[in-house]
Amino acid sequence: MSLAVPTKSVAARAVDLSISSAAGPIVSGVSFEVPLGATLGIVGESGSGKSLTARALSGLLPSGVVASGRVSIGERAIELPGTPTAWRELRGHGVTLILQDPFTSLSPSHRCGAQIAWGLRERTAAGGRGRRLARRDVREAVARLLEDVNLSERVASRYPGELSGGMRQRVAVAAALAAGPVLMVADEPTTALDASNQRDVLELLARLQREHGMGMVLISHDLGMVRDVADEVLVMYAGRAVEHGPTSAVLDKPAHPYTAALRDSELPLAERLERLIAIPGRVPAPGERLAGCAFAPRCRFALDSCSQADVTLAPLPDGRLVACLVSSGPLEAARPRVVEETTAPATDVVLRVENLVKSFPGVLALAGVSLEVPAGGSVGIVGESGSGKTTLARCVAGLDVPDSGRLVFRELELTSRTRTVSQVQMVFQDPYSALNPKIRVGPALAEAARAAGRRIEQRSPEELLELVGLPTDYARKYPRELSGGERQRVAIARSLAPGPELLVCDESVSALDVSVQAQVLNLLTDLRSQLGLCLLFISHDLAVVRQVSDSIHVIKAGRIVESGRTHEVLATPGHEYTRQLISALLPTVGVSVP
Amino acid sequence: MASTSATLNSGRLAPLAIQGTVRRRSVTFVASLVVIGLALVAACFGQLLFPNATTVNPLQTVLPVGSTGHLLGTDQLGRDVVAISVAGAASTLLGPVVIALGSMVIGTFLGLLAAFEGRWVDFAISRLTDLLLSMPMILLALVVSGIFGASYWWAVVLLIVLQCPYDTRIVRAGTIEQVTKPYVEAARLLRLSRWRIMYRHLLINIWPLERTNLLLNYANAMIAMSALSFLGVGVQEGTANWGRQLVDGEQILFQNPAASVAPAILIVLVACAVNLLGDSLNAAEREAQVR
Amino acid sequence: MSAEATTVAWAPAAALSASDSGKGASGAGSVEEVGVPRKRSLAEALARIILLRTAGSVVMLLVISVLIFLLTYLSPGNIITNLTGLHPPTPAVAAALRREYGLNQPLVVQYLHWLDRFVHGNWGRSMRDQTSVSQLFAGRVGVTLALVGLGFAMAVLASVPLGVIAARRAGGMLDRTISAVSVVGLSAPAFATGLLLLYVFAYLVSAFPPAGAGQGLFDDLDHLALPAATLAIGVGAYIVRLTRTAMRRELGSDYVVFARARGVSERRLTFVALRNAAIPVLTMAGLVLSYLVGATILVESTFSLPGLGLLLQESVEFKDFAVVQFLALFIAAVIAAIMLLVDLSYLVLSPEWRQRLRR
Repeated sequence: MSLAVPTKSVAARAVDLSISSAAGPIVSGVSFEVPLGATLGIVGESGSGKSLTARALSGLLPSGVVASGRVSIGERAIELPGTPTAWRELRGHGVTLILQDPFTSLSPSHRCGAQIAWGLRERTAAGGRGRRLARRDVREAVARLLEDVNLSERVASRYPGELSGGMRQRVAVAAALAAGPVLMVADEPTTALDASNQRDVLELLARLQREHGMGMVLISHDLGMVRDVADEVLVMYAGRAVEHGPTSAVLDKPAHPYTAALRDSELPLAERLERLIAIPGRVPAPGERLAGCAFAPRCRFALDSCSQADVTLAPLPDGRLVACLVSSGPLEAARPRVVEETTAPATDVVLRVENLVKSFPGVLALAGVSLEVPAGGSVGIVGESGSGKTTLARCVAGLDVPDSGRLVFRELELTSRTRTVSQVQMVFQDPYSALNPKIRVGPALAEAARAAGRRIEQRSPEELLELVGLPTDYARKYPRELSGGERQRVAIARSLAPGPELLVCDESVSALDVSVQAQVLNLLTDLRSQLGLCLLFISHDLAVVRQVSDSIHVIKAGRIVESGRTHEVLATPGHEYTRQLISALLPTVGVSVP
Repeated sequence: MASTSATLNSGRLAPLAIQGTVRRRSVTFVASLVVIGLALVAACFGQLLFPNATTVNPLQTVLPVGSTGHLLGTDQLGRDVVAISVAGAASTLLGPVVIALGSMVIGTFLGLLAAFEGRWVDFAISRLTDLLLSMPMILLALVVSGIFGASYWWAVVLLIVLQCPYDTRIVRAGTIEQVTKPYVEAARLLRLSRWRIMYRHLLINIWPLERTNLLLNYANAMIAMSALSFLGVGVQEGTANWGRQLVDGEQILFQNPAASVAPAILIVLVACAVNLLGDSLNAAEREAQVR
Repeated sequence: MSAEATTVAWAPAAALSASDSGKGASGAGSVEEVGVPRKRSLAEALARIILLRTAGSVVMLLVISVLIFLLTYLSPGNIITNLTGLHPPTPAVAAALRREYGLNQPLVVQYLHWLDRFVHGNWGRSMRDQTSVSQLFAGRVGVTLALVGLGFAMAVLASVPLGVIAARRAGGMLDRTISAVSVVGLSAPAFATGLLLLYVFAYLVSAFPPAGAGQGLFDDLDHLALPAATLAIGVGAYIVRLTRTAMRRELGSDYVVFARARGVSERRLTFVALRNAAIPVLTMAGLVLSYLVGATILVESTFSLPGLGLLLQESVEFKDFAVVQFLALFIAAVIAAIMLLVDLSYLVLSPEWRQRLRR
């Protein structure tokens, strides 16, 4: 599988890459270079245009989206958008793309070995000799590729459906390698995987890159992951490059206000912040982008001149590039106030869960779970997928009925007859399907308030919107006009409308960008003190739970394996599993060590 | 979304392909509307336009196309083909409206119920639809209406019963997609009544699906109804009805083919127009969703 | 259409908080082992599903047979007159009939007797000319088989490639043309198409005979050409649509994008997508079959082909119960058998389905 090593040591170069659609420009004038054997990380949140940039490098943009600029892979250059013939030359042994979702990247009806081999044969055919590799050679080549990605050669005769997510992603990597590419582009390759698998796949990619001498472009929203793997980083915001330079410089000592804000939004594991750093406002949509610096409306350093003229990347004394009029070097890290964590005074208990057992056909989801939520308190539940945490949430909220065990809400046993809407409400994970798309915000909130009847004093939709920090004229809007974070706030407002005392949050910030996460978490903290609300917060993300809960329960395979005050459990974990969870996070979480 | 102000790079926008399809689709769209409009006029005002269309004229021999006073000739009962065709619009086109609407109402009710309640209700409704769907519509309609004898309106009722499993299926599938979404669970958490959730929250989300389905349903109903008429169900010989005219006209195919060909073309034309309209609405709906 | 229960749901949603069970995780450097031992072997699971589906089909058929059996009783008029035709029978004949059909016994017993007779091939006699139903059937089945066989073959051979082409060049001129033509084919009921073809090719042009079945092989084909073409147009339009929709969906999916990104040729991609598209197309087999039955009846009527469809129509007209009952049940049985085959073919075609079985 030898590569035609180009004489230049550059794997790829993009010059003035721009992408636009009918709605407006999505990416404007991005340029970068990827040397062979090096990794460029492209970092940004949703709406930054990073995914489309990755696709543009392979000429695989969705219909209705058009790119311009110049891309060169190895020694061949192509003017975008480029003809299908030109791209066919480049794809495979020039550039290859790895997608995010391992469950849909492979054809379900073909064996893994065959799918890997497709890349092989094509390369040979394109090599000009037109001779097909003999079957034996193909089998050997496939076996070698599988070995490269730590899979047994028996995987070749399996179908993708028989493999786990991590294994499928590795098959995908093997398939991408088959043609011996010069540049590998990976678009969020580990986002859909479990924490432990994430690390494995990343290490795999790094090793393969070293062994094959490829250039790599890694797209991610996860700063920690990029920090571990990339040599250089390009930070994108609203379709523009705002900072570009060596990883350690850019991510640890950022010079652009946005990068600094991103770094500051990372949640520390070692301590609890009184208030999380969030970036106010939201990312402008393609049609909304104005002249001047795109970040200016949300930037705390912004001057008037920032919104007048375009701001382009300019070099700083230390060699990196920054697109900012104000910054002249690394920005100071924000030092948020830390909360003194003490043992809580005893208060009355709002919710008591006693020995909850719930099973579904073939699966025992909850094997006897007990916990308590004190008045005004916040209890966190941490576990990986399949641990039963969502089932627990649903049983508490009343969406599922446990097989045995009791739920006691302020001395009242909860059954379908004794439940009311003013006891427990729930906020779900996906903000994009949390609201009825055909009903405006106002009527949805009004309906929720009415559901409580005369039991509580009715809050109007406007009051509810104010409560969650949204402008009152949002009542007229449809959900599709709001961003993810705003929708989640409306969802919170809706669940507060009937006046519940306990709010169950099931992965309620997991689908949000890091900077928006902080907004919502701050909101929940505010609501707790304003309304005396207590929280049952469920997440797979230990860092998030740490910031939001007073006490924590670690759940595994339907059982609670460890409980206690959050800071105590994290400082001195008693159970092996808790230790595993913590260590899986440590290298990637920005521990705010002075 | 506020798409205000001067955006940079405003030069490179909408690929021409998108604009092109919109314009080209409009032609078939407009043509379909025209055809349907004319058909509706014929159906509603046929009596006024050709008051004597159905008068049998026993002395009149079968005249071919192009005879004086009869553009398309006359049929086996001495009636003008043009007149009888216009008169036939009502019978051919109005019954299917009732079928499509009736099927939609019942199908919506059953589909929503099956998807929302799940378990036994879903099992029962699904097995019932499976049973009805395992027999071809025309076969069942023919046998049942033939054996029991059926008038035009009983045939309509029969077709409603035979058509609603299709609607039930579609509504059920659309609802199942929605029912697991958080906004429905949130509605359950608010302890809203099941009818409110089904009809206030779910129905508006599957309505676009139903709307386009209604048109396609109509086309199917029209075709099924005219097939039954062709086979002699619900309409006597000599009735002004395109399906019936077609089979009556086969006897005189040598003398005046127009008696059969005219209604044949009319059926195809109207069914086509409705299907095309349904298709373009479908496409427009999908595009709107993507944005 | 019991295929509904067997519809494959594509694209399992990957939960944002990772749906990976971590089964495959290993330390760096060690070679991965595949999976864990399954609960059932494939052969076991296959046998189980074949039995289940067959049982389901049989139950369905039994239910239908009950309804068909009841036809004679639900029909307006006296049961005796229904059996003998229009003329009121003499008391002697009436008594004889009662004895023969066991009409004095309870309904359930009568049904069981009827079912028993049916299963043993005793299908009664046609009321019109007293020929046995089996004879009638034997005389007509050939024509219908030939018609359906020819028509369906023509349809599939033409429409699958057309559907694929339309999907590959979606939005282009070729696609629009193919789609437009398929809409016309769908919208035209079989009897209208049949009549138009009849008019153009049998009268205007005189290329084919207008009616009847013909003698000898070539004459037969001659007579079958137009009817088969009519059938092919209707069914073909359906299949073009189905294929196009399924192919478009596959061509837009992630695995195609990924394969294209690896440099896999468009030609191979088309076949890969087609392979995956086969399953959603098969789920529609029930609909196509339904359409085919209806269209066959209409086509035989239009062209006066002496097949089973025309026999059915005539028998219904004359209230010839024995024949109607037999034909209805026969068609139901054929459909059930074909749907069973389709259900089973999922197992061959879809590894995902085989996967599900084992759990």
